[in-house]
Amino acid sequence: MKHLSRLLALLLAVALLPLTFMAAASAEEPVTITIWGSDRENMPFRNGLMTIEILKEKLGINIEIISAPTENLAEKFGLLMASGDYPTIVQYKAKDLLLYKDAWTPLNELVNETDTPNLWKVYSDPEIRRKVSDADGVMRFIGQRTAITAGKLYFWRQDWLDKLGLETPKTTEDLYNVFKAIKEGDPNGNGEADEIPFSVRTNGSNNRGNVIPFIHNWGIAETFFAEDGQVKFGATDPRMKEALTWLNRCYADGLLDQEYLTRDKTAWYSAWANDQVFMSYDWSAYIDNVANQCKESEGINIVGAVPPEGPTGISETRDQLQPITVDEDWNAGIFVGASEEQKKAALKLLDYVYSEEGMILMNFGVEGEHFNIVDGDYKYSDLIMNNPDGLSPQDALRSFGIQSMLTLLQDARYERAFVSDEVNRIRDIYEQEGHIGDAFPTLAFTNDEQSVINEKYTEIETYMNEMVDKFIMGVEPLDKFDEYVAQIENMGLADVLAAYQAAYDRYMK
Amino acid sequence: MHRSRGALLWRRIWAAKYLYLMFLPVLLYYVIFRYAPMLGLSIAFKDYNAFLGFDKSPWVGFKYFNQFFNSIYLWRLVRNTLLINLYDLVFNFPAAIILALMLNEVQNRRFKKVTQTITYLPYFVSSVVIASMVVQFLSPSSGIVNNLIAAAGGERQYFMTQPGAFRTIYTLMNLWKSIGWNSIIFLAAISGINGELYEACMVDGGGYLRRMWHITLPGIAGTIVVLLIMRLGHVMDAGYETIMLLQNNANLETSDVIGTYVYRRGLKGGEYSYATAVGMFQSVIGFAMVIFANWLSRRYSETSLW
Amino acid sequence: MEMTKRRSGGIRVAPSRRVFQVFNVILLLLISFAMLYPVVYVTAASFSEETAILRGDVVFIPVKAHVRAYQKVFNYPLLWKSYGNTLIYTFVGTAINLVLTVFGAWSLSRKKMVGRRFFTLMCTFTMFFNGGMIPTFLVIKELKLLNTIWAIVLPGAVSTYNMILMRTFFLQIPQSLVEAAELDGCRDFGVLFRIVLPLSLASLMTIGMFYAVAHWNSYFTAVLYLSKPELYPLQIILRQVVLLNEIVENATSTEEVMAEGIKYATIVVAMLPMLCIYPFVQRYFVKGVMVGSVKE
Repeated sequence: MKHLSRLLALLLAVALLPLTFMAAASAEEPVTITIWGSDRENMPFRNGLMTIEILKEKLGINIEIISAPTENLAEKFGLLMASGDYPTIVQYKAKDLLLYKDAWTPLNELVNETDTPNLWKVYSDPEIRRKVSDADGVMRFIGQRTAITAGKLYFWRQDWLDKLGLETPKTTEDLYNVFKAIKEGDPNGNGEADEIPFSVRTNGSNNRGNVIPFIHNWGIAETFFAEDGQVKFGATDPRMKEALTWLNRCYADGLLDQEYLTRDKTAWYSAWANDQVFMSYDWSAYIDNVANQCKESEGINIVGAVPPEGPTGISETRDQLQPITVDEDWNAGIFVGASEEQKKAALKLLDYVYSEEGMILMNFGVEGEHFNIVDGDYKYSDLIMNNPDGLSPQDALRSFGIQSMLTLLQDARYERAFVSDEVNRIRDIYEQEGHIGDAFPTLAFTNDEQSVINEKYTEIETYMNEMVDKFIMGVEPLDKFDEYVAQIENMGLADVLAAYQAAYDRYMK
Repeated sequence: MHRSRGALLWRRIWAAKYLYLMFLPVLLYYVIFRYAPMLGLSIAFKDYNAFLGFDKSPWVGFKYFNQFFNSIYLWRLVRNTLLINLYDLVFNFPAAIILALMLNEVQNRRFKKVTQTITYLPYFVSSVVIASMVVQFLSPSSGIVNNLIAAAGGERQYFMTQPGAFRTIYTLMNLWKSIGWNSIIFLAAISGINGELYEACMVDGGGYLRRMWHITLPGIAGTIVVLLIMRLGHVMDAGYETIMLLQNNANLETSDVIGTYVYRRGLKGGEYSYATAVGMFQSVIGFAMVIFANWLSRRYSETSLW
Repeated sequence: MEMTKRRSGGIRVAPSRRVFQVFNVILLLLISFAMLYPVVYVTAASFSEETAILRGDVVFIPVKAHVRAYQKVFNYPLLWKSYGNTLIYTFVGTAINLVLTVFGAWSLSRKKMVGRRFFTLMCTFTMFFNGGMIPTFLVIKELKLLNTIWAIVLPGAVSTYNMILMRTFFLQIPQSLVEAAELDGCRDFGVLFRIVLPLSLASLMTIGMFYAVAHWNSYFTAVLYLSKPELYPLQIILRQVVLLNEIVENATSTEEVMAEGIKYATIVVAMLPMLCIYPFVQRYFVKGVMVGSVKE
């Protein structure tokens, strides 16, 4: 009897033992969250990244990355949403996340001062908050807060201005005259008028993305923009006709690159390297990149330039970065079907990334390893600047996960570290002296509004694209402009504008 | 009567049992990997939302078909698609046959091998590179074509912006890229011709042209017809990726095909329903063409698909 | 064409024939030159200095030659693994392709296969109608094939186009040979293996080559169904190398690039094995040996 009861007790103890282990384990076992995001070799987003490991440690969360190849991100995203297998966090463009808005946890309540103080610092501002909300005002994701706004700018060869004794042009008229002088003055000294005063590389789905910003100086944007609370369409605005007239004049006189529609990056670099180009418009770092390609050109001096003033004195560009980069792949939505613990962990992660500590980790790395503070200034270490594996500073940073995905709070000091002084100088001028025009916000549409836009806008856009280039190149005379406006209106522009207006009004509330 | 017919049928099936066995894995493949996904074609009639899934996405009937047919550009898109394919059929298809015939006449085996290899190599150079080479060659300022024109006293042309030039440029680019590769199938077919037929023809005093016309061409006629029928089935398709490499706003009038237009609209974000609806339209037309071509071919020749 | 060789050794060669042959060769040489140019340019550029490429200085031969672009490609961590992956996918894939295609083509070519018209139609139908990217993906997912070699080789296991081509070749085999074999006691599989296949070497090699090349170049299937980098085929890795050297579009900071040279180096790397394929395959482009001597 005694043996039996002792045996029973022993058996009971043995049976209960694993339970105690399990209880102990689950008490310690960290929550696992998965994150889906864009991964490419020179901006990796995968398991094992230094920043991810540190985040895991610091937050006590197990993070697993699901990498999606950057090149086919759109297809992979569609497949992801159809697959029925959803990660905790998805990082992608706002517009696409909004297509499936019900998949993302509403954050209006969850982002507050007590639980997520760092996120609250940014998103308590309704201006910022509406950028990450859907058509009903429900906050659906966390975006990337950018540090700089001057992304794209004009630049030219100062040495040619000097050589021909030309004054810095201020207005569009001045610029036209300078172009003419360049074309006739043969600054590259080869005896041929092969100079291309203004040349850009093809950009944007309509290829003229780097030519069209000139029209911003007439106070309009190419497609949708807001003026006095009203949403307008730039391509049919009377000011567009004026702007196009100027562009057409430049093209007709051989001052605007005759081949701008087909000049890809290689051909554009080629023109620069062959001492043919005077002025361009592009992302700021291209000032340095172009200078790099033209190392062999004697005396070349590329400086940034402010936009030429239009007839009403406007000097601005409207296609700059927004305070929250909703058009990029960084917006993070938390899946609505994740468990409560996972959602909590996800918010904890996002809040940390927005904190001072997290921002330093994601922008600069670990002090002593990737950067040092010298005289109060952040300076990247040798590991970054003179990377032993031969990586460029930017690639080196990103190989650790710094300045890669999840860097949701960007710091301006990072941006300044990698470009030449000239780029920093001109960027400051753009930002501080009012050359950044209003960018039209990415709006959240209701299903009906989206439907109207989908149906009518592709046609309008196709027609507009064809005609604008024809006007610029002179294939279509500008006195046909009114017919072209009428045609676009026929295609249902009013309906599309109404949809945009409704969404815009909601956005501004 | 009925019973004996059924019995006869069953006997014939039993006689072919090994053929059915042979065909079985193929059948399985088609059912699982081709027909099962076809159920997804229903998204053409729905407002498909990938997150909601097939069942929960609302039914909209022919909405997207109507949108496509009501488009101002419908006629232009269809016309451009058809013409690009027609150019390809009329020029590139026979060109591959002619190249195969020419290569066949080469005596020296080594020269033949080397030449054949050279002609199919461009197939492996990516379209992106070939397209940018084409743009480069045609550049009004520095391209070789215009340099030659200028040297001959002509005026330089910006070909890439001329709608009238697009089809020719695109067709020639495809010719350059695929003629060698396309000729391989014809060379294989030629090698399948019974050698005795050539002997007989020569004994009869037939020269090389006679042989080509009376032996070679008829010998590969079956292959030609079959390829032609299948090619016709794609007369409403035109791969948008390659066209987009040469397309720009100035030549949209002739370069905008169904595929590129749908791609642009799809860029607005996940419009799978619209894309599927238009794709279905293309497939229906293509399939109808094949049925028609097959019927024609069955009437007037010995070859047909079924 | 042994016939012509024998002929020119012996009897007369018509002068018009000579002229034609010379003309033919010249034309072929011109065509070869035109075809060769893109390949020559790509190869030269892959060894050239970046600025030289951009300036347009590269025409036929490398300018300021170096092998750094190739070094970058070959040093890429997953490159060799992906080369191996592609080899495996190509072998396994092509083997499956050929078996299924031959089975399909042979059975559909036999008159005695009841319902073959129906089956052919069923297959042809799929050349025009397919479910699309998402439905096919869901099928693969349900079958639990994601991230396996089967997701690469099974969805494209049979190309209807190739199968119909092969059937056309099979139909050209004289019925008398088939009947003779059947009289000898062969059944359907036996006829296929003993008689038909030896006679169809040219078509087998050609169709086999078509499939193999498709596998070699394939890219999108892997993108859809694979998410583990160790499984990636060559094309994906090569594209990554090219992307690696392109400036991230919104360049707000400078980077050193070798983009052009690398772009061309990757094409050469992918193209090299293709140089060997045709010469190898062409050996089989001879008339199949006629078994016995059955008079038509």
